[in-house]
Amino acid sequence: MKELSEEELKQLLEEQFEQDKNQGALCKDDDAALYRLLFTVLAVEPSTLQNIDLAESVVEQIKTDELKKESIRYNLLVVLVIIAGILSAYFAINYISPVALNSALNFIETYRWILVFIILCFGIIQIADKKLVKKSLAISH
Amino acid sequence: MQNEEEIISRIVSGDLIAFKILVKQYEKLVTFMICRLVQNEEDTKDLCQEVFIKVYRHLGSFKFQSKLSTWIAQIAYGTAINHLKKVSGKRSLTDDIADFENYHKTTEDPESILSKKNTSAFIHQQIEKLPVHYRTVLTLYHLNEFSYQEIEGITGMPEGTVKNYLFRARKLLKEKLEHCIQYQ
Repeated sequence: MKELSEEELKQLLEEQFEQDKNQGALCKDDDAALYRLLFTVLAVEPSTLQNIDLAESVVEQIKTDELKKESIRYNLLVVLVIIAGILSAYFAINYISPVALNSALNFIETYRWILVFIILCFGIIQIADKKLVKKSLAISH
Repeated sequence: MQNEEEIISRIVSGDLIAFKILVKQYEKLVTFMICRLVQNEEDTKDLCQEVFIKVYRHLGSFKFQSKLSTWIAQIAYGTAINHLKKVSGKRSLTDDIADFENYHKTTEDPESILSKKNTSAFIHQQIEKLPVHYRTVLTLYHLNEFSYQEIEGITGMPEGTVKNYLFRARKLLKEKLEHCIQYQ
């Protein structure tokens, strides 16, 4: 911080004394010297606050947040594409051959747990893959 | 130094190098405020980071109606106060102003006051014991060199209250200093 000039110190003292008088406080002879010392110290940066380097860590945090956002966006897009694919397949089969659609639905109904199991396995493999890649990247850094 | 508007438009378009310049420019302002208000080293860095991330996210909505430093200080003040409210639970932040009369009744013995090696360290130690609003105005006025009007804009306290807190805080510190010097 900049050092206070004599004029700035005088102005601060005048303001302080005026306020002290307004509040009925008695001004002693050595008050001016004490306030001068106080104002000088108040303008000095506390030494404990000088060594925090933020720029790098803030930018890193922002990059991480952006990556997370992008990954969520990508995953949402994948889910939307899959849902759109299933719906269009449903309507297309229904349009071409309602009988084929019925037998497909029957097949899904019969083997639903196997299908659920396959979907779960796929999901778990995807999640595990992402976590392992993240860990190995962290180790290599 | 580059034009502030130019830096802001670069940041808004996603330039992180420009943002680094901005963080370096205002890191002292934010660090001083957060350190003085929060007084917990572990939380300080996280909160300073949080402030700059908020600045990055909301910079697009900055309309140059005030100085950028005032706008950033406003975010830092809000973040610190919210953190203090969370930490202190139900106890209102103005409660410690009500308690501040006890500040005169020091529990320190003359021996410990005598052991304070220098005046500067002693004063900074005493500032830490002041109520949060006093610490805020002292930091904004003396360290960050904001005017009364700017402090009003940052904290939302009326200018008269800002002045009153500032004068009372300085008077308290002067009395502490006097007390300390008497024992020396």
